[in-house]
Amino acid sequence: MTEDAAYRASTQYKLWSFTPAQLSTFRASTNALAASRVRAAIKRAREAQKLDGEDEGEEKEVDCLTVSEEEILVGYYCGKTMELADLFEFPTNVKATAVQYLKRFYLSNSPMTYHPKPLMLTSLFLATKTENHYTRLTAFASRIPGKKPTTPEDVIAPEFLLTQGLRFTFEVRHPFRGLEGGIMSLLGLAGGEPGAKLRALDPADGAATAATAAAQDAGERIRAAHAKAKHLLKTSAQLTDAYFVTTPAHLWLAALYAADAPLCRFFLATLPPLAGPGEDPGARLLAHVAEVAGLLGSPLGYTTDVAEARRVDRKVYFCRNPEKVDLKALNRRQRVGGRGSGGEEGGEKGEDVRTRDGEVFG
Amino acid sequence: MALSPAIPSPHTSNTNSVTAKVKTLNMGGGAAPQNTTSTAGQGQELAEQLNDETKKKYVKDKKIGEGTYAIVYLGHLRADPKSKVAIKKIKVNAEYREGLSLDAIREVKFLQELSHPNIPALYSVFSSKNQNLNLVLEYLPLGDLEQLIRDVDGVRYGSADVKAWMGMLGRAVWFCHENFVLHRDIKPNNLLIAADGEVKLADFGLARSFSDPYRVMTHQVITRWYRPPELLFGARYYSGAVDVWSMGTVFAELIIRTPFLAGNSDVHQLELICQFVGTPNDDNWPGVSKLPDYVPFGKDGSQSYPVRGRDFYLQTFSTVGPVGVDLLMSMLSLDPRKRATAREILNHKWWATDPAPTKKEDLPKKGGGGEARMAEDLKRRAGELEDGRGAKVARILDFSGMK
Repeated sequence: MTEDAAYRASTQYKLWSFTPAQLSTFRASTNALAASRVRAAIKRAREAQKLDGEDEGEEKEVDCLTVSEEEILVGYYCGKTMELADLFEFPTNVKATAVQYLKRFYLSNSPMTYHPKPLMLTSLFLATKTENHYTRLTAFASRIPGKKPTTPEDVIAPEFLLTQGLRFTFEVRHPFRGLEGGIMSLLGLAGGEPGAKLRALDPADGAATAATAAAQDAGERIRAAHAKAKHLLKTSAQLTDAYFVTTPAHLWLAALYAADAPLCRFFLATLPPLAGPGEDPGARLLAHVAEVAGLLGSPLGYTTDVAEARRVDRKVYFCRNPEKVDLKALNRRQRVGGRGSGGEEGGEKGEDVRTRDGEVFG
Repeated sequence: MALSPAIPSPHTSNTNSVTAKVKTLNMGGGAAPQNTTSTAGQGQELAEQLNDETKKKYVKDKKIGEGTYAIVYLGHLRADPKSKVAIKKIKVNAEYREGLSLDAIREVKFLQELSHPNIPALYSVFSSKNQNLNLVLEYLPLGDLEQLIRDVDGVRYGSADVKAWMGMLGRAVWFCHENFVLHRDIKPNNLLIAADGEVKLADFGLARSFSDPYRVMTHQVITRWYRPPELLFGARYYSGAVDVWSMGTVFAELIIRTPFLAGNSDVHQLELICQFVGTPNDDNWPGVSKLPDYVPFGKDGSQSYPVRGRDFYLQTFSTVGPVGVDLLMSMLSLDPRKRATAREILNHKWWATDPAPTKKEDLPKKGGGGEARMAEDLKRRAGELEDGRGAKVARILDFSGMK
């Protein structure tokens, strides 16, 4: 069994790998579907209000989120998920898995239908279960910061929705171990005969001059690249589409490339020549790695435009699907007998949508 | 593999297109808006549509078993009435307020990823009303190995059969470890038998992926009789060697047709290990005395047993021959670092020694009762450790009493 064959058997490959073009198509169709639903649902709500005599006058066309606005909002809450995971001092795998769950969920769901704020908590909680870091629900809920206390039900209500959106696949394959292995190999090489070649390499982009690079110990250089690459994998790799468009093996190589391209090229050159169809698979690999490295960005990595995210978060308040706002009621309704009957409310009307604030932690 | 989910055709690069899948995912897009006109205003979301499509692919024929944890149905593909699948419906536990249970999550997680002839295939997962999770599994009608082992009067088998069964178990364990998964509950009644005689390692309710260095794992895994000494001593860092010990005890049990080390408490289990395998100490297992729950057996007057030599094994397990005995001994090494790995086991020369393993279709089978038995096996909570000797002994007595 080759590693490629093993990877191709994974759900990450079978269900969650796409070309950038496929991703755009997918997101566009999710957005279009959600927007039409939102408009219809809001219209229904307005008509119901009219019947109640609460005529609000002029009806404006609902201004729905665009695909890129949806991405900004989901990205923002992915960042918040990471902050929350840090607050809990969860290991990297839990944090990264939670973020990927959100990203996967929002390929087929729109934040107009399900706002990411509650889903963020559910994703993180589910990730503690799937990544062997189980935390009791009550303890988990009680430690979530915010003006209003978070109840266990708040966390658990959308769990079913989330697992369904994940298509009941829970494994996320991460690049972290691969990077550690690659760095060990490099450190091994540095001690051996190729060490001399390593010292003669071009400096990394960040290094001041060729002279300082040459003076730098090979081990030191590798460790510096390791730290940068690790940081990129924990941040940019999570928040961009990297997991969707490449494999864990290519991803850690890309992070190494972004951290120190000559070092990454040196490492690839030490490997036995790649076999495979087509012309020069080695060159294709390098091109792909460089492309993904570009996605991960400069060593500074990916940044979120917080002001823009807040704007979108305000906007989504006017274009949310009113029928999907109360996740707890939706959940209870499903638990007691299939999908909802005749627009009846399952309970908790007190959860007023309008009291929500833009701040994720309240 | 007619039942398998759509697998994209193999491509040359890993970052290729998965066209078929995108089509599936978008399928709902076109059909969806029709639903929005219902009075309930509950237009189905994409994920719900996909779920319904999956659900409609299968038909539940009849209930074949029910336990506290799951209900098992025999079913078939709507498109192919002759096909057979087992549908395991995991009950939502009203008492359990933590959402999806860990064992259900583990089982789904690992079965989704591991496709191998010696691991039960998970064809689909869907939810039915009330948020019940349904696993559509390969139908395995011929019971499990425990049943064959216990039916001493009804089932006769020989060393070629043991070799075939152990080979299938060995390949399953190797595949798990190759994919960085520890099974952590290998025992004869988790080894289910397919219609063609193939043995499948089932029940991933206690499985986990390999830990990162320095990250602890629980030692409360593996049914006691099959639990290795390092776990009984409370080791929090361990490897695939735990599964290999279980394999060794299953191997021994297949040969002698009774559990090799049937302790009735954790301490008793260790005592039996001392007596029949050898008393662990820092000489035969450097560092053992530093394990958290280490008990110095063989001190303060109690007897210390040297590690059993080849003669003991040749005497007790003679039917598999000297080469087979070597293999068994390599699985039952006290020191997990010296224990054979799953890969080493598959490379062992016993497999190539006469007699050749029996072809799977010629293996001894238990007559009848298949449906009922699969239902028994599936309705157990995944990862449930059958603890306490009473139940187990009663079952053995039952079987031995049966003529």
